[in-house]
Amino acid sequence: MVQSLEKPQIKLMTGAEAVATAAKLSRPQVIAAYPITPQTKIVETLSGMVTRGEIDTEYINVESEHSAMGAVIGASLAGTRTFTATSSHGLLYMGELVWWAGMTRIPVVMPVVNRSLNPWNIWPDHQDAMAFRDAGWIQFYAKNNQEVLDLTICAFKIAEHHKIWMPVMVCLDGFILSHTSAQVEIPPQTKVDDFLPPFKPLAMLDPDDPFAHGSLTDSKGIWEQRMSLIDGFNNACILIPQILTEYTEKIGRLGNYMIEVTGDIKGAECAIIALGTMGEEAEQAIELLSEKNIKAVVFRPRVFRPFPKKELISLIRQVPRLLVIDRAVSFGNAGQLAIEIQAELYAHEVSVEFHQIIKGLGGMDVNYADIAAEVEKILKEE
Amino acid sequence: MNVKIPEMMNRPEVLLRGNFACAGCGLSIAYKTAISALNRPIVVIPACCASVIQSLHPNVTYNVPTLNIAFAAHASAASGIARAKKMRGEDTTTVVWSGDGGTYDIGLATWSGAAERNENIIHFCYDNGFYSNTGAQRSSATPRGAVTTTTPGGKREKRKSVVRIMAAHDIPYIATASIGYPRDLYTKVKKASLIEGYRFILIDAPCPTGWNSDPAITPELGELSVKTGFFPLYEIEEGKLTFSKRSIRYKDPANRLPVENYLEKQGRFKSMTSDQIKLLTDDLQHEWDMLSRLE
Repeated sequence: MVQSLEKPQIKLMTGAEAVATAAKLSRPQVIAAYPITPQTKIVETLSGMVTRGEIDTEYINVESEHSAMGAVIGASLAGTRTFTATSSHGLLYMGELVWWAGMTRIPVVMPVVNRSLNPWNIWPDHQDAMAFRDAGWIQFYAKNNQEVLDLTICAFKIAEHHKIWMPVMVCLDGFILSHTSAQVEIPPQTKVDDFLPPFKPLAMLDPDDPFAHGSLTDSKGIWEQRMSLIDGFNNACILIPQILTEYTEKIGRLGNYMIEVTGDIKGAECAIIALGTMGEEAEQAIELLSEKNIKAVVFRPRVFRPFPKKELISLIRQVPRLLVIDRAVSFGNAGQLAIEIQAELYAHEVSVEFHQIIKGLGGMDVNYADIAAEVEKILKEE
Repeated sequence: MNVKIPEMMNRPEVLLRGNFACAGCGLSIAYKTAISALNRPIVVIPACCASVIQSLHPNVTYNVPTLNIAFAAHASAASGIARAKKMRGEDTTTVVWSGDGGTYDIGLATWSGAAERNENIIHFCYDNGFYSNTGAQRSSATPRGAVTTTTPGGKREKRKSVVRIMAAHDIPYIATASIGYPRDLYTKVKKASLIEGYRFILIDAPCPTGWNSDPAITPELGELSVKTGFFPLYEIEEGKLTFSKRSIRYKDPANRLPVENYLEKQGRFKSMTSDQIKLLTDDLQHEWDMLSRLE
């Protein structure tokens, strides 16, 4: 069947395929990647697309994740749009260069298929990506395969905006999204091209205009660089909603919010806050709760870096009670999301009843009934 | 290939004055000679002395585009640059400029991957046989008997043959060169630049600061390492090794100067016993024998 170039197609695809499709539509010029479960399907799908000539890209089958990030840093500075993807131990092994990309502002896009860390376990939690929350990367957490596709395309535009110019991680829960098929609307290439113009380097390694990138820098230089990075994140807070708006207007669906609100905030007894697919489970949980006449609402931050403080505080002020569910732990303290929300509550003198739990480590199932039960429990305790 | 002296005299200045190199720095001579032989080079430098001598940001004494990158990321970053420039249709030469620590030790897997993919890169390793940048610690390029800050009693193991590991990758061009013979080095770089794929050039680069040698005799040490058979000069093309004109006569141990002539000029070998020197001499002969098998 001949498919229209102008109309979106609807396909059943896994999260991994959604990532690969989004990457293809975004026309990266250099891709470097190394396989790791559950990211493998992304690199396999992309390799197939390259072999069939569906993407015009230089695909580098590197020998490690460390080299994957090394290659995209080089390729980006040589003036091309770049892409890689990883997971879990792959992200940790890449770690030195994840920081290199963050600190030296390399606008690469990297989906991270969230997977637990050692001892060997391939199932989802957020411990891998959370280990890099401070690395100077923008972090999105997607709730379903459609959002994975939409955010991955947006990630290029965000990373490459000259007032942001930094790397972006798009996090998706391993297996729950990466290996589960769901309906995804694929935008036509023409519309993506209109939204995402070709890569425009801010600085490039060029023999006609030589400069040294990443050279020995004194404290003052490092200070200036770090302050500029902080400014970049402040800019991102303003520009991300604008770019998401543009995507929604040109392509559809996505919405421009940093935090998705599901349910009726008015009269809600409790707000559930969670990232990624747990946020989507929570949407089901509030339906179950409403059957028991409990009114709850879901706040799902889909951007974790920059932390959407302003949006969060204005939402939290409207509810009496919070239940924050983390799928990772900052050992010695608490879940990262809970810690950061508590800091904002203090900073803005918001008085709210605060509950936090850690769920789903190492891929433990967290379904809507579990979440609903947690809400019931905290209400009963009072 | 025969490069004429006037061509070398007129080569572009790639390393500017005011850099941070020590007096008698072998790396500086190697860099100036090799990089100036290339067409539109882009140089990737991992952690090593070359990442320090370029001066402090925003000043830079390299007159070519330079990417400083993490220790074990030289050949991966260079792979990315080479592919990106190919994608952009730009005519450039992508170069890795690494010390022996970055090549023999921490970056070995990285270059092995890039060599196996036959990336279009020239990989230079300036070899001073230890970690010079961090204050003279042992590397796997350190020769037996040499005192470093982590082998204060002298190194007990022999030096690794990184070239034979590289040769096992069947890359299109491999050469060794010395700052003692700049014309030979320059010619080999020119030759390498006309070949596509992964090319490797190992350069003997004395370090007076770490070797505890007189800065004034750096070029002389380069010559002595060849004449004593300590550092053989050769090329490997399509798996076949050819000893270079400057080294061929030292294949016969009888023609070599005594290795002591080389060792006695360096403080790092001062405490070696005659037994250790015998073992070192055996190491050198073993390397010659193994290389001769590739002829």
